[in-house]
Amino acid sequence: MKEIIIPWPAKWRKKTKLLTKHLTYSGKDFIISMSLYLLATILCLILRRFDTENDTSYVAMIFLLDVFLTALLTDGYLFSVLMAIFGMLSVDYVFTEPYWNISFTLAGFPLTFLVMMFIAIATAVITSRGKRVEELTREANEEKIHANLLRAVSHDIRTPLTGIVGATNVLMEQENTLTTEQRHELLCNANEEAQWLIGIVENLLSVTRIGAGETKINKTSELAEEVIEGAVAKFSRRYPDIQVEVTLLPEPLLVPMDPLLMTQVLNNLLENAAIHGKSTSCIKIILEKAENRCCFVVEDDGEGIPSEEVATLFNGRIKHTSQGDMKRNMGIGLSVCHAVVQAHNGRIWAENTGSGARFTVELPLQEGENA
Amino acid sequence: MKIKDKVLIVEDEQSISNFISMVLTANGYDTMIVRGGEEALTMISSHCPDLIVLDLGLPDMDGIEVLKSVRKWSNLPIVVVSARTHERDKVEALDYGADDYLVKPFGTSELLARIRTAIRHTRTALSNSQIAQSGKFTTGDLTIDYDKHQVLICGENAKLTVNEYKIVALLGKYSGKVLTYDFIIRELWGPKAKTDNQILRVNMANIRRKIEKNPGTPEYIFTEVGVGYRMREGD
Repeated sequence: MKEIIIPWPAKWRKKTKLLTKHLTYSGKDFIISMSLYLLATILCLILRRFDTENDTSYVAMIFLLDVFLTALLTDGYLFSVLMAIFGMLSVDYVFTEPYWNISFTLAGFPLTFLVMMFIAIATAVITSRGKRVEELTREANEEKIHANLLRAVSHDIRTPLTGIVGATNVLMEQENTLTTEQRHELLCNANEEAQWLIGIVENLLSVTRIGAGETKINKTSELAEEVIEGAVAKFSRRYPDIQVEVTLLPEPLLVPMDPLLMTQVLNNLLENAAIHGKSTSCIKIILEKAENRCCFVVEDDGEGIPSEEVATLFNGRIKHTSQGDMKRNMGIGLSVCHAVVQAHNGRIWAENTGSGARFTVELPLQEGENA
Repeated sequence: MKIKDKVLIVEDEQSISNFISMVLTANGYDTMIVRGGEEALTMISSHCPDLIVLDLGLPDMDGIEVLKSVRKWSNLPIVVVSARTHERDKVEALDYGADDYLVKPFGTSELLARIRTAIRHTRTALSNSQIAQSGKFTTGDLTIDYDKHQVLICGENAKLTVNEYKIVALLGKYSGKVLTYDFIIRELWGPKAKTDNQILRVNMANIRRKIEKNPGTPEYIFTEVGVGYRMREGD
């Protein structure tokens, strides 16, 4: 369809376009406004029975409320404006003397009518605009979350990159003065940093798989043990010195989940235990089942979680402390865990056991709990 | 003079093709590098390499097209390396006849292991020379006796059901290679079988409870999450 060009100045045309953009029609909105209109009419007819003074101002008030409700419940302001016009006309036609007649003869009535009409339309427009502002705020919030995530990521990426660039620079520039051990050490460092970057990229990929919160994740029935297996295999390749003990249930357990995302979650928790537990030598993964939920428990024998962090561990905020090893901050890892588990309608929490930290991921076993 | 296996590396990123080439040369392979799909196809028909390492993201065509076009006339082993991580992409490449699929970034030892497996499989008629000679497949404490239709763990019969045995036997035949869920289902239950892989999963869980010490950290049959299963290499 060709766009209708209104022969107005460009500045106005833009405004008209903005106006017409909000004049959207939908069947649902039509039904909503019709029923509101009928309700108001019935209410007024009932009230008129008790009306002895022949005072009709309540009628206008009720229709004003009607306009307000229409503006709240429908999209755009087409219906609320229509409601304002029809409402006021019916005030005149049905509920004021002479009944069942359009008449502006009553003293002072044209003015009242016009003012009422104006207020109704203004209400309609303002309410719809308020709704639009809400929407904009929500969008802005989402963007803020994205921006925060990007900031956290570029921070997490920059540190290992500096290490890699530095190490390789030294290797290139001082090839002859370095001892074999030094060279080996630099190469090991660079490799380690690169591995770390891979981890970050994998977490970012997981985020793209979850989507922007609207698209549902793709759940399939997966064996819990296979997801654990995947995570453990990957973890053991990187940390061969740390022992992982897996305790399963006697019966195989099928859980509706996105297997790659859950592998990532468990892998993050394992790496977290290895890095933040500091003295971790053994990690236990225990699978538990209770009624219609199952739990993946990851328990380590490390130093545990600093008590002030237990509560805020999963909100993904980068701690802006100047000391300490910033790179080892698992900001992204744990917030990805949180996001994935939430997308599965599950829960994740952390606690100290006295001899280390324990992370629990709880997932529903029935698909039906998605609502 | 020892005749070396010739590997064609199809990869447009120089840093990657360089390092693959170096690793392979150091491990006794001859290598050739091409950067595009068209070039790869001419090289394959003129030089007949023993194996192709194929990147999917080529500048002139999708690597999958190269794969399809080679599979029309040749069985030569192809190991796909790709930055595409979705399980859908892996399954697609494997279904079109790739022998293996490595997701970038990968380690050198992993690459070498996959290349060795792929070359070995194409060379022996029954996919596994060990089976052809002795009727048995052995890896660690696991033995599959193809003549007696039995799976033994430390010499003891693992008492698998018929379907469980069939799955293990199939994986043993292609040991070291990942078999997709669909492939296993087709081989076991025929082409008309439902592609619902739930039954396969439950069978696998039961198999693991019979042959693995701890099914959570299996030693013999590994899961490729979202793709399929892989049996450990034979001894």
